[in-house]
Amino acid sequence: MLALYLEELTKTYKLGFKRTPIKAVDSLYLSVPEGSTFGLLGPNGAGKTTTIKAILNLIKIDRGRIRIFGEDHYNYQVRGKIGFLPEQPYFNLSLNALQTLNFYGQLFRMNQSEIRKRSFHLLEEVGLEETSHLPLSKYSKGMLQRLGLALALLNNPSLLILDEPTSGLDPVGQVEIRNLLLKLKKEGKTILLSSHLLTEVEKLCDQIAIIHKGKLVLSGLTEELLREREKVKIHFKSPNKKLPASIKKLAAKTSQDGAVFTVETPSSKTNDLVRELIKQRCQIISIKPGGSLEEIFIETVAGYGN
Amino acid sequence: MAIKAISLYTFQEILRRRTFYFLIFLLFLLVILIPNLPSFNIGVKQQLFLDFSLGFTSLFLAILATALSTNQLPADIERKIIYQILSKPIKRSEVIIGKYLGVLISLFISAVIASLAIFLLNFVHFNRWQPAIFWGVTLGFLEASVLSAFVFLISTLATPTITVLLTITFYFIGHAREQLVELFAWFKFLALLFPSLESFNLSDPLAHGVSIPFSYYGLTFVYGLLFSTFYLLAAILIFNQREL
Repeated sequence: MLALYLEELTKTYKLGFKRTPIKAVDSLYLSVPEGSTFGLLGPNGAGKTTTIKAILNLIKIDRGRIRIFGEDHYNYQVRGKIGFLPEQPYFNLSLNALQTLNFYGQLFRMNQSEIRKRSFHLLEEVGLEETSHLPLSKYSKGMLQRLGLALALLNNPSLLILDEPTSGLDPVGQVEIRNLLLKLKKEGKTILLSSHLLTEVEKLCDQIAIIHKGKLVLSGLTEELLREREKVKIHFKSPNKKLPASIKKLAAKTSQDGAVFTVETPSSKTNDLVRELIKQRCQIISIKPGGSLEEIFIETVAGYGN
Repeated sequence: MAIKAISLYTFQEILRRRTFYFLIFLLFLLVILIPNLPSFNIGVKQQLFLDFSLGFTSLFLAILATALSTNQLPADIERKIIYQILSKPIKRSEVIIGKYLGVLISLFISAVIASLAIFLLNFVHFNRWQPAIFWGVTLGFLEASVLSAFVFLISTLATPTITVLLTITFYFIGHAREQLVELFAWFKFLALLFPSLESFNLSDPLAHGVSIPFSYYGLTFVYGLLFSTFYLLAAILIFNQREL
């Protein structure tokens, strides 16, 4: 079953005095299977947040359909199955963490004992149990982010929508949250993760979609996409300071920085290339694996122009 | 349950505001000071006291309704707290109704404090037992409720400053509605959108001991309720369409 299905989602904003239409999301199709961890990627202004707002019915869509666990997104009750962490979670700073969770728990129609039980458990999970009685005005940005995550998990949601979940956290905090998300992934939760931290997405997500200027430009299984683009970068020096023709023939991409040459090749051709480099008496400086999600992202976005 | 949670949250939020206590203190001070006004004889003094204190209470509740309602929605939208609220399984109408009820609880408590103060001072200073004072303040509370609903409607569309300016205009038009209808024929149709706020003002007849029939209170209550419902429904309709 699909946890989330977006069909031809289109959203236009009318900006300025002349009400110039700007397409924030353009005929977007997305399928997020139940139990998957789905990375929604894109540069700033790509339409990620607009997509999330549309899913949560915070904005009206021009065209298209959004189904959450088979139900129409206009049905407000379906949001009971969603946990949402906005990019910067905003709270009433005069309340403390327990009061905050209590208020939102009531909006989820949870009873008081259930709210208390869940709140204590979650505050412990995100490392806020000792500061649960402090007003949120005393919290750091990272602590507010942790509370935002606890709130997103309060209703034990089947679908978690996280917009930059590690934003504002220090490296230790980022690892802790990533481990928590891995745990949730193992529990079978469906996670829609929008993040700029591509290494984080690579570690967590089994599927990704890259959107650019509101359009879907790439999607697929993370592992497959990485495998398809698996390559190796070799840095070397040539004895005659020229790139041998046989090497150029084997390489997918070449570049030169002073006396150092760099060649890129699909990993399947690495052995052939190394053999040829040795044959040509080239001095190999380094061999680095390439084809990270970051490279895929940059290549994809650059391919569609900025 | 969601409406109850939002109204209590709104009420607790209001209790944290210094403005709320300052306004209550100001009203309390005014009501206490009124019996010390210079007067010609005891009868006039008691009438003045009731007239002024009921009038002040009514005005105070109107100011309080405006001050407490104006920023309810805009502040949550600006601080993006609304994202956290509306991403939960609740309707937008529940947010408006919950917040409105939260304001009404605060207004009701203020009205109870004011009526008790007037009633006790009237008894202590003038040895007069006038339960009708409660009815006078109740109508003031009803007027403030209508005003608050109007503020919620405008705040779904406009900035807080414009909301306050339009509410002041609404208040004056509401009080001068009958005269405006008489003066301008074209206002007759527009007047349908404005309640006659003077209907809620009983300070003068109550001060002069005029007995008011119960049916008047009942009808005025229905009248206020109809206008409040109308404004709130319009606010919900607009808020439902609003992009956040």
